[in-house]
Amino acid sequence: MYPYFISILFFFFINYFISTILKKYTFEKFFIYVLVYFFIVGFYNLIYLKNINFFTIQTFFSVFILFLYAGLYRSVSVKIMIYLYLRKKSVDFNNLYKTQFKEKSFDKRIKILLDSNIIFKKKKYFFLSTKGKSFLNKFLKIQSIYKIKSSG
Amino acid sequence: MTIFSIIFLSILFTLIFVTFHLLFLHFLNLKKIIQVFIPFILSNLIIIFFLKENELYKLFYHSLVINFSILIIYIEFLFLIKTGFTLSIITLFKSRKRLLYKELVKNYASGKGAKWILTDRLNKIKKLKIVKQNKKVTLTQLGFFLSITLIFFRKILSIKDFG
Repeated sequence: MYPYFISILFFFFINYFISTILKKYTFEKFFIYVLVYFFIVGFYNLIYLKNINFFTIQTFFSVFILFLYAGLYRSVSVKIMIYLYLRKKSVDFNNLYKTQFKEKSFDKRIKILLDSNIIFKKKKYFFLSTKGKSFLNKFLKIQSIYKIKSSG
Repeated sequence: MTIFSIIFLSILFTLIFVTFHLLFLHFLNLKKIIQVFIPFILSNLIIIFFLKENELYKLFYHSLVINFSILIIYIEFLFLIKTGFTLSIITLFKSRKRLLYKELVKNYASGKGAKWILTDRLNKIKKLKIVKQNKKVTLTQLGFFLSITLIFFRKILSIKDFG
């Protein structure tokens, strides 16, 4: 049982260490960390431990932790719940929409799209870049394969 | 070598699983959860059936754990293409070449508007009795407990901000 516990404890310890070093610890950075950790531990297992159980548990753990992180980091529902808990009182819906949702979620996503060059702004208008157009085409094809007519 | 055999079994599972899921999706009118779980069970049963008298059968249980991981990734992927927030903003450019900020807010989620997503998520957690909503939104006892749990998990994973 030791390798499982040590590997998981090390995972959280290194994760905490990285989060204190890096200015902004985003999901993308966490994703890279999980992948790197998975390959390093997997390689060590392949060479020294040669334990199949360890490999399967490590794979499941990596996927599960990514799933959990994505939910806790991105979910709108989680954001609402934590905001309500921290405020310790009832919140007006319109106020919640303006301060917490529109500014901190919607505008943030637009900024992410602008920073990653998927959209660009010219005067007051937003346009889809070439990269964005190619991305949109691929995304629409995937949506049609899965019979998804609208998203949101 | 054993690890690669497990990976091989899981790749085989993925191919069968995705094929079945797409077939169910296009030819059968079932609930969304059933459309994913029946192909998952069927694919594993097919692999068990064909491996019964094979050496690889011993590795099936290891492969099953990885198959569960694949199922989690697949469900996450389906959620992303259906409810992905950022992806939905990009789809607004499907019918329009240029959009003003106001139009992005107004046309979000096929014209439902950005406010809709907050209403939708609030309704979902209201159904689960996590929040109460009259004129104002309040956490219930369950919501209070869940929020503490979520904060605890965020601390463990060192999550400081929201995406």
